[in-house]
Amino acid sequence: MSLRLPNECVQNILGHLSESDHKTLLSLTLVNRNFCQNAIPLLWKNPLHSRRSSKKHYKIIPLLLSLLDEDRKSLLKFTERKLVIPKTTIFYYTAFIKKLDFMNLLVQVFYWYKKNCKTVKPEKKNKFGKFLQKSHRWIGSCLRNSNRTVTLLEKQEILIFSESIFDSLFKHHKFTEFQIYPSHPSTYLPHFPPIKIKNGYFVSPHTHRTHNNPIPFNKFNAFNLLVKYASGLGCYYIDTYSKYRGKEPLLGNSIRYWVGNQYDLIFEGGNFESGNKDILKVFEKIHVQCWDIQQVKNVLINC
Amino acid sequence: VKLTSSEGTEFIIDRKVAEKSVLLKNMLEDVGESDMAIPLPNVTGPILNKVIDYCTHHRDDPFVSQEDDSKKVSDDIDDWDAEFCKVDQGTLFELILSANYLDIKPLLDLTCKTVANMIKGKTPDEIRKTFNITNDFTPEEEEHVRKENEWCEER
Repeated sequence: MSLRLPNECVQNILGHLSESDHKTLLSLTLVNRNFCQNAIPLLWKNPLHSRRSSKKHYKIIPLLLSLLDEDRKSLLKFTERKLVIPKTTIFYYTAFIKKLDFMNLLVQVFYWYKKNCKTVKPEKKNKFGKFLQKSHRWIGSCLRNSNRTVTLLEKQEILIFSESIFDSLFKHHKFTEFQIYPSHPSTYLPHFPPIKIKNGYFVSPHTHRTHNNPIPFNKFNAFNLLVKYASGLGCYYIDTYSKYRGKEPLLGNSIRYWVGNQYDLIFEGGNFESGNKDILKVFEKIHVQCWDIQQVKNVLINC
Repeated sequence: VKLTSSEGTEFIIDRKVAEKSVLLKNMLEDVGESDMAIPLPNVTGPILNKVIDYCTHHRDDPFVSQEDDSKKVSDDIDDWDAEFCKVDQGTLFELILSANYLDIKPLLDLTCKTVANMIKGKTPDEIRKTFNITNDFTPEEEEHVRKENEWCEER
């Protein structure tokens, strides 16, 4: 015969479980209502924690897709594909996600896609093509272990689904951390790939940490935008090609100044001094009202 | 410092030992030295004895700040602590309640960690038995929760 423990003690006990111990956490959610409420946030904190996680994880994808905005859903042709996406869920699960491994997301989207999704051919060559050219090898390497051939079109669709999920999570919730594997800078990164910009700069997010307070800015230019974006992430990693290494990171310093050192901005050989006026112009044209990853990417692809 | 357990048994302990409990520490600071025994109506004698054992053994440990989540990994329990926790489950739960009431964070963490290790890998039913709780889900609710979280099942 055991005593009943107050909820704060139950929470303490659950706090000692590893967020990757899905088996125990799942058991706990099924114990009773109170345990369920305590265990769900832990179960969903880092849902795709392992790169080698089971194929079965793909069943999380419809739940993640339910978060998408309506126009994004229609863009992805949910109706035409006859996708079964839950309209309502018991918990607002996605709000609990604090960490996400993009590469595993991609892999799970792949399994889900293969089982549930009809491929829809794009009507015409879309603007995504250029990006895909650069990233399809990266996707291929992510899916290497699946032993299945993946067509270019499928890769594109898998990437679009993954990115839409990622974007929505990013837009609606506060991540504390997300990981993009492999983190080696020479590898292609999804959603914000190290695209060669005219003078050989590339910009890539690394490990990001988010902070709660956005910083108001009064100057608008390309780097302000980058900083604004970075302020959402809390940490921004900007790398330049080796050609410029060793020079004084002039603009790097001024960004540091604007941000007031509240965020970790990492500049590696960050020299923005010369020759990048064209990029600046492109960025200046964009108004800052609506800001999401897609937009940043489009800017980078098109310039 | 004098303490009385729920049955009225008196315990005399060092102030330093008593101060492992944030509740007692604050109380002693407010009241100052006094010969009056502090009554602890929520703690039984045998449990209080165990708690005092723990506090005496750990009397020289540095005080850990409240929010130190970084080392919450569950396997690092040292030998003395592990031996300390080898008690029946009723005692363990009473220790959790007392640690919570007396506000002894390291003891609370230790006992909770022990329980966490106990429930690792168990089925919902086994966990219910451990905590002596009933399932208040309707069958539909339970099925719904299971369905929405089946993605994480091992296979």
